[in-house]
This record gives sequence, C-alpha cells and structure tokens, in this order.
Amino acid sequence: MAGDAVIEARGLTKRYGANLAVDHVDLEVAAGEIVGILGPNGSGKTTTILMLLGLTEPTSGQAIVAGFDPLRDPLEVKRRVGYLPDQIGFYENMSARDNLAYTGRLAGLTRREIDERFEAALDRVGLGHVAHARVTTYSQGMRQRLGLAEILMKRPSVAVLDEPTTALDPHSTQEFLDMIRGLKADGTAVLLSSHHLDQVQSVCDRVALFNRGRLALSGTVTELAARVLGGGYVIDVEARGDKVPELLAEIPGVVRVQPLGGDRYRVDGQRDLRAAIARHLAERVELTGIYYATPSLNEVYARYFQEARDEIE
Amino acid sequence: MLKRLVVVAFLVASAGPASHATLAAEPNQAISGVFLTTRYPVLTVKAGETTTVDLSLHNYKLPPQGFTLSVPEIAEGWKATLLGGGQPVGAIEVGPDSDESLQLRLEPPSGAGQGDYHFTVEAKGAAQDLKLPITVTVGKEVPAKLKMTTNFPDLRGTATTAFKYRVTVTNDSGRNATINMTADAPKNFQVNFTEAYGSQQLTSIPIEAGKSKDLDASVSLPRETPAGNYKMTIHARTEQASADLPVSLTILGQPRLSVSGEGGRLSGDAYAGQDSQLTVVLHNDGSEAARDVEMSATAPEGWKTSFDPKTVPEIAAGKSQNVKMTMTPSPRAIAGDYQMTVRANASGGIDESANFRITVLTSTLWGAIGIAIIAVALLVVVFAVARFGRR
Amino acid sequence: MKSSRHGSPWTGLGTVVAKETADHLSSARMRILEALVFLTALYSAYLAIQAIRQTIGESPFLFLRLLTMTEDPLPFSFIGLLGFLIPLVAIALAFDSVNGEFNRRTLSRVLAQPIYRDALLLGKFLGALLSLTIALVALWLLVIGLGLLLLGLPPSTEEMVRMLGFLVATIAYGGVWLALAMLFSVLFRAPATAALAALGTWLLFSLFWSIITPIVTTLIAGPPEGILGPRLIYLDVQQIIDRLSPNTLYAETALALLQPATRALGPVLLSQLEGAVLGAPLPVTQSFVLIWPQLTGLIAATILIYAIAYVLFQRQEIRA
Repeated sequence: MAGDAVIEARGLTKRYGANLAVDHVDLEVAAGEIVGILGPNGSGKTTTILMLLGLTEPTSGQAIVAGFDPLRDPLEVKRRVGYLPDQIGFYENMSARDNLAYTGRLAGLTRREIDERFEAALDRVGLGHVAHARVTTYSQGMRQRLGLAEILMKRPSVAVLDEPTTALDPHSTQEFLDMIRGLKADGTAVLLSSHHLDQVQSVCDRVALFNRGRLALSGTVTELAARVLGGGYVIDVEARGDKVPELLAEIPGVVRVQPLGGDRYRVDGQRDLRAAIARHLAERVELTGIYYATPSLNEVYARYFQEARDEIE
Repeated sequence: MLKRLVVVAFLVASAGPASHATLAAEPNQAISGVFLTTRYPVLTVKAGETTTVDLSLHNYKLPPQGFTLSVPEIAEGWKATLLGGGQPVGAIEVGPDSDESLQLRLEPPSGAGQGDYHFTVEAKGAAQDLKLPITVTVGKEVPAKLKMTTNFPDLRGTATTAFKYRVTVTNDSGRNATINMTADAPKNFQVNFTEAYGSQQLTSIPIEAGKSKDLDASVSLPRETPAGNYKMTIHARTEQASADLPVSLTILGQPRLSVSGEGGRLSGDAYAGQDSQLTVVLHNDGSEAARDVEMSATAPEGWKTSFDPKTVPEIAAGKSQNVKMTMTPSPRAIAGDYQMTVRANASGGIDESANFRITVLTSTLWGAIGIAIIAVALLVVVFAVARFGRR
Repeated sequence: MKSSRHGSPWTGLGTVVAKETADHLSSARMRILEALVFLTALYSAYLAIQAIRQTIGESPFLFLRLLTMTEDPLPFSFIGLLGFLIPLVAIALAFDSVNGEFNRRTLSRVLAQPIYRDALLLGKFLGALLSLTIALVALWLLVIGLGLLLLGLPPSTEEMVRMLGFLVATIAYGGVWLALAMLFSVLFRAPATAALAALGTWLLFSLFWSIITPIVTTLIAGPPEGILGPRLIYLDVQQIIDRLSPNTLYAETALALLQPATRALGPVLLSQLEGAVLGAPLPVTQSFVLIWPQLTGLIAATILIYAIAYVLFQRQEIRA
C-alpha cells in the first residue's frame, strides 16, 4: 500500500488516564479513496481523527498523513488535510467570506488564491447567493456546506469529515453526499465518520468499524459481510413450494437461509450461488425469481454489535 | 543752579544787617545820629570794570529825616550813579532806628589807567551834612587764589578698600567762587567727591571768599588692580584760579578666591552609596597669591566627602587650581537634588564658599534586576513553550 | 516522548492578530467602552486645562499637570480614571477570548489549519493588546492635542519623554489585566463566569485592596504604631502587600513619571531628606529608575499570567 497511501496509521493508541480511548488502531487510506468510519459514540472515532490531524497527541503508535508525521510535522499535515469537525462553528458576526478568508489565510493561501477559490467553492456547495451574508443568518445545513467549502478552498489531499450529515434533511444529505463524491473525483481521499450506515455504504469504498477504541473490522462492505454474516454474497430467492428453506440449505456453499416473508428467502452464500440455486430448485419447486442482493451495512453493523454484546455477556 | 545759589547768598546778605541792627540797637544806646557808611571805603577794581559799592544810611534814635543825595566829587571821566532799590535816586528818607541801603555804581571811562580815583558821596539833610569819601584803586585785581590740603595724602589698602581723602579747599580770593573738582587718576580709577560727612556726589561747590570747606574724595578702583603705588592729582578750579593736590595710593596685593565647578557649573551628579568625583575649581582673581587654602564641605547627613588635595599651599594671583572632590552620598539617599556647600579657607581670613547642587542618581542595579525579572518571566514562557508548545 | 515538532510556533500569528484586532476595533462592545473612557478622560483633561488656565501661570510641567490634576466635579484625575477604567476595557477585550472559541465551536476548525495553538493564544493576546494600544495612543494624542489647543503651548521634550513612559506603563498595566482576563477565559468555559471572576479581581484591587492591606499587614507585621511612633517594618510590609496590586504599581508609576518632583515611592526617613532640595524635579532618567521596578513588575506579571494561561490552554483538549 506504500505508494499511494495518504493515511497510514500503525498502532495508534490514546489513553486518558486509565481510560483507553483508542487502542492500537491500524488504518490505511489510499489516494482518491473514500473510507467510512463507523462505530457507536465513544468508540474512538473522533479521537483517532484528532490524532491523525495532529490535534491531539497519541500516547503511542505512529501515523503518516499526506506524507508527514502528524506528531512531528502537524503543520505540514494540516496544510494538506481538510477537516470538517462534527460540531462546526463560525464567527457569527463575520460574513461567510471573512470566515473563510481567515482560515484560508491561516492555511497559507495568498489573498489572490482566496479571491480566486472562494466564489467557486461557494458555488459548488450551493451558497453562492449568500456568500457575503453574516454567518449568523445561516442554517445548520448551510454551515455544514460552508465547512465543506472551506475544505474545497484548501484543496487538500485528504478530507476528514466528522459526522457531516447529522443535522441535514434527507434532500440536503443527498446533495452533500454528491459533494463528497465530487471530492473523490478531484482526487481527494475522504475519511468520513458517520452514523448513517446507508449513506456510508452509498459513498464509501471501504469502511472501518470501531468498537471500544479498537478497529474491529475494516474492508469493503462485501468483505465485512463475509466476515460478520459468514458470507459476502446475498441472494434473494422467490419460490413457491414446500420445504424451500430446507432445499436451499442443502446446496453446498450456503451459509444461512432466512425467510423474508411470503415466498421470499434470503440466502447468504460463500460465493455466487445463483446458478446452483437455480439448478437445485427448478425441478422441485416453482421458482419465480432469483436476485443478487447487496449485503446491507446495517445488517453487518447490527449483527456485529449483537455478537459483540453477546460475547461480553 | 549757580544763579539760585547766588540769589540765596544775596538774601542772606540782605537780611543779615537788618537783624543785626535790631539786635545791636540794645547795647549801643549811647550812639545816636545818622551815619552814612560803607564796608570797604577803599577798594580795588579791575580796569574797565563797573563797580558797585554798597552804602548804608543808618539812623540811630533820631526822628525820621530826609536827605538829598549827591556825588559832589567824581573822578574825571567816571560816571557815578546812586541807586536805591535798583533805581537811580536823588533823595532818601530814613526812619528812626533803621537803615537804608544804597548802591553807588561807578563806571570808569574807557581807558581809565591804573591809579587811585576819589569819590565823595554826600547826603545833605536839614540838620546834618554827611560826607563819605570813597577811593577806588584801578589796578590788577587781587589774584584769586585757591588752596587745597589734606592731612593724609598717602593711603594704603587693598584693591577692595574704600579709599577716601579728606580734602580742605580754601577760597583765598576776595570773591565768592564756585569751585570745580576733578581728579587725574590712573585708568579705571574713579574719583567721586562728596561734601564731608555728606553723601551727595558733587562736581562743584561754592565757597565764599576766604572760607574753606571739607570735601571727601573717594577713590574706587578695579578689584584686579595690581599691587603698587599709584599717583593721583586732585584739582580744584575756578575760572580764575586752580589748586592741585597730589596724593598717592599704595595698593596692597590681596588674594580673592572663587569656588566653582568646572566651566562655572555648580552642579554635579552622584550615585547613592558610590564614590563620585567632582572637580572643584579654585580661582584666585585677586592681586596676590592665596596661601594655605584648605578645602571643606558641608554635606547632608550620611554623606562622605574628601578632597584631593585637601590643602593647596599657594594659588598665584590670576591662576586656577583644580581640586578633586570625592563625595559618597549615603547609600540610603533617595534620588534627586541635594545641596552641599564647598568651602575654601585661606590664610588672611579668606573664607569663600559655593553651594553645589548635587543630583543623586540611584544605582541602575534595579534596572538590571528589573530586566532579570522580565527575563525570568520570559524563561518561564520559553520553558512552557518547550514543555507544552506547538500543539 | 516530547518529540520535537517542526514548523514555527508563530505560523499564522500575524493573521490571528490582524483578525482579532479587526474584531475588537469593530465590535460594539469595544466602541461603547472606548466612548466611555474617551469621554470621561477627555472631560477630566478638559477640567484640568480650565483650572490650569485660571490658576497656574508658569510651571515647567504644565502638560503633565493636565494629567494629574483632580478637578471638581470629577473625583478622578486623568491617570486615576485610566487606572480605574483600563482594567474594565482589558477585561471586556479578553474575558471570552478562549472560551468563546470553544463555545462557538470555531476552535477545532481554526486549529485544523496549519497553525499551532501557541500562535492562536498569543495572537489573541497581542490582538487585544494592539486594540488597547490603538485606543490608548489615540486618547494620548487627543489629550496632547487638547492641551495644545487650549493651553497654546507645546509640551517640552522632557514632558514628551515622561508622557511616552506613562503611555508605555499604561499599556503594560492594560497587559496585566488582559492576561488575567485571558487566564479566566481559559479556566472557565462559561464567559459569564470568566467575566465575573475578572470583574471580581478588578473590584478587589481597585476598591478593596486599600482595606485588605492594613489587615493583612497587621497579621504579618504586628501593629502599625510602636512605642517610638510608626514602625518601619509595618510600613515596609504594608508597601510590599500594597504593591501586589497592579493598580498600586500603575499608580506609583504614573505619579513618579508625571510629577517630576516625586523622589521616592515609599516611606522615607527624615534623615534621608536632610539637605535635599525639595520640590526640585528629578531628572527624567532618575524618574525612570524610580519606577523601573514597578514597570518591569507590570511587564513581568503580564508575561507570567500569560504563561499560566498558555500552559493551561495547551493542556486542554480541543474537543472537551
């Protein structure tokens, strides 16, 4: 992963007194990749992000972000990373432009660069018409977009977005996700932390699942599904007849069969079993449909934490 | 001025005989009759000069009577006029126990030679015929003469002594005179005349004929006048006569010290508790060397002062000598100005002093400590930055 | 463990200072306070000028009198007024400087830019100090202008030097209060708490200190009077405690600088005054030597309080 990794963390650990907030996290993000970070509150997501940005010091472990060690070269890291905090605030009495000009100047942009990039960035997040209004007139959603505009102006190689869609309505959320895809199109790697699993699933190339300070799982949704649900392939079968579940279970490679109600059944398989299912059922029952279904992150998440709770108990 | 003096003299002269007459009347009760008199029946006048002879007609204890006045004998060519009250008169009345004054004006003819000229004034009354012969000698006038003397023509003293000559001026001529006083003195010497025991300065003084007056001639001279003997001449002059009085002054040398700082400054700086040097300049601007000059100082309590040298054996006239004064203000002295007196005593009772204003500066040690405090504060920050910085 | 980080801690300092200064100078809060200070201070200077014109003809330090005279109906002289009001302005400038960033949630966004916290805190302090300085310099120039206009004569060089020293001391005094208010804004997350704490300190030093000082002194050094009259140790201790207050330090500095005849700022033995030419003005340099401990004390206090605030701020988690 050496060449194009923009984030590379090894054994990142953060301890607050006796409390281990982040425990040996290894994380890699490649250039142009969108990686989602999942996990319940307090699982160490934000702490990890702060450590990657050099905003807090890891107790141990190492990270290289955009080619620099955030512990040694936090300025270089922050120069190349755009960060949208989970609770974003602006100087209320200043205009959007002044707010962004301030952080732009801090980011080392010249006045000309700020002038050039500001309009474009605001147009891109759909705030062009209120660019010169005071931030105090902005809604929460507009503020999130303004935060994104700030990142756009910075033209970072990594964008770190912490819970960016929490306060957004469904329509805005959709627009915001499109903007995140736009970032990827620019070649920016995105680290996206969110509770909205479906959103993560829709934009992320890979996900990392945090639990109690540990990075429990990471990989594509399919890989996660394979590990949590036992298989990475989900096939929905629609068939009428007796003992359909039993028949399905007989097929080699089938891990689990789950009735979905009516004549529908969900089959978790170790591989793409559509052909085998078709062959096996066609003569015995009335097969009306066979569909390839994507594994749901929601399912993976729910299952994983169900199992994790069971383990503890 | 002169005119007024003359008038005053005249008034005194005219009032004099009247009062004299009343006073004299008592003891001279035996005398009675009318007399025509003059003070100087024989007198000398200068050639060509009109002379006025004062006459007086006295009536002692007789009733008032009239007299016809005439000048029966007049030297040839002369013109004689009898004047009474300023006008020509021909007769006169004289009351009992009173007198009347008359003047006989005698105008010589031009070219009247030397010699005696005889005149007779006659007053012819009912009972008496009074005759008064007068002889006028025309010739050289008695030369006007002034005399000037002093008891102590040679005075000694230092350049600062107030020299005063008591001069007696005598008018030895026959007439009152106004005498101008002057003096020939060395350059820069100034001679002023005052009446004896008076203070009013004068340049001339009237002295009646035959009288004398005492004058003071005071001499002031520059303080830097070198020692030596100086000759001066005092002159008394009238139009006709003059008198000279040679006097001399022997100036003795005298040291005169002044105490000051360098460049005449009477101020200096000193640090509290530290030795500070101040150069004191002793200047002898007198005319004699100052000897055994001893330095001392009066300073505020807790101060120390010393001089190098403490004593100066001799400072020649006109020369200066620097003395280094080392002063140590009290270590507890607060900043600001203090007064101290530097004194120089020399033999001959010379005691000169000068007040110096010393500005006490407090040590800049506090400044260093202040900087150190700030430095410590900055060190704390540096430590804090090193320990907690760059987050 | 404390690995050396790269990059200057001052990166972005200028930007922060510029932004903070612009913020302060345009904020309504500052304008109201400045109007208050300007009006009262100018009024006091005006009253002093009127009095000077009526009573004092010739004085070598006419301009300085303008700043030190107390005239009815104001109970303060110009310097008294500044000593009272400047802490107020400084507190207003800084009481919400750090906790405000937390509360507006701007801190993490700003610190995600390539700057260190060092620059942010110092920039905030310097920005506030610069704003205060701008206001004070303007006021200073106004007073001089007023003096020129109404007295009709220019200040002497010495007066200018003294007044410049006074200006520097005033800024240093403001610095102490700025640092203190900033410390409270780091300590307390709620701006109201920070403001109350700062105002309480202000009241303590400007009103109650003169009451507290004798009590504490008596506790430490015993009664003020001994058998032989006032006890020197009492006076010394009292002075030390008195000088713990920045207001005392400032008042002494202003007094010594603006009243040139001031020769000492503490108890003086009678013997020390023997031979002293009273009323003679001290040379400028000596006046500065006299107030040097006070001035450096103010500056050092500013730096130390700032250092405390700095350490506390650096130790805080951005996301608390």
